[in-house]
Amino acid sequence: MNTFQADLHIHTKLSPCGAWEMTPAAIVEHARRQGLNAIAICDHNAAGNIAAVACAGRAAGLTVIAGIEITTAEEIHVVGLFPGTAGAEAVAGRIQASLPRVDEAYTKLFGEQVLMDPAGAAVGCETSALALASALTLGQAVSLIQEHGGLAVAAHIERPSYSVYSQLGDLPLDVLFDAIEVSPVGNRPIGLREKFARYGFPMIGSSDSHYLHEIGRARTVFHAQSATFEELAAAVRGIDGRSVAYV
Amino acid sequence: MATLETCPAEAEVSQGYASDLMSDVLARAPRGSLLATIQTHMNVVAVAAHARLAGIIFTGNRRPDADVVARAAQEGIALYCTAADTFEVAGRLYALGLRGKSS
Repeated sequence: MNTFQADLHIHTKLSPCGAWEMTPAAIVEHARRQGLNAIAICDHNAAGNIAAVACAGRAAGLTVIAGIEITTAEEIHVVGLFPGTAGAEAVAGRIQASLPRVDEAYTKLFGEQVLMDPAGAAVGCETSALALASALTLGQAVSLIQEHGGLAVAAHIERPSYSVYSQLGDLPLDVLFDAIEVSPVGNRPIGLREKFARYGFPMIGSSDSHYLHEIGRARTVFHAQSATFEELAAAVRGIDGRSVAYV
Repeated sequence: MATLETCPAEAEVSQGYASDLMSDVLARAPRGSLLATIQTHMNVVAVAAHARLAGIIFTGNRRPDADVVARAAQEGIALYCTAADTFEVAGRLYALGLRGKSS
């Protein structure tokens, strides 16, 4: 067994709020410089840049996990982490079916949604309005992720917006998350992390990076055999001495 | 406004609150008040019970699932739903004499 460091919530410029500097090549380079073994790409309601980052990651020896950050009907962010790009893309397709198309006013307000090649050249734009809430409820989003073999994670649990806590006041007892995600140190209101730890879900730490300098500012440390999705999932589930923690 | 199959509010209600964020309701809604919201998740009932609210008005034509209605009946929280939006509902309740926490 080995110890691996991962940042499992990073946006690319496909997210309208992502910075232009969030190109596949730059994300991979910064992640390596931060000493990370694995990252997950989680754009808002989209999966179109995962393959490009995975390609850049392979060249640099960095594990790139396919992910998505769904906005549910309750305006809660749920992160899905998948065994492969296909799962994330299938989920993205379902989510985007309930989103309106972008127009000029939307793009001006929220930002461009750019598909890139591994080097960072723009190859297209996503036409679904990714910044908006999908029609799926929290329970439906979690089920959809898990049906595609993914881990469903309650994103930035202690944040005052777009979290299970902010929207619903507490974790619903009937929604079985695989893990809950805590945010970087400066963004954690005192006491809330401890409150959510009492529910007994595995807790992971992620940066929710929209800019390069944010990559690695919160991390998940996992104890497993290799830095793969399968080993991460086994660590989240605590199988055969594997484990996860946040730093 | 339709009353869902729970129970009508028995106590006299003098205060109202409008919010869709349940963390905000927990922190600020006055005890015994009526909450106007578009959020229909089960947790709204749990939060209303915890905050000791008298009832919930689901606005904008949103209807909660049957299990939410059943839980509210158990907790003794009255549920209503209406096609009117939250702004309209708050205005009508204010005209009837209900007040917010700050007035």
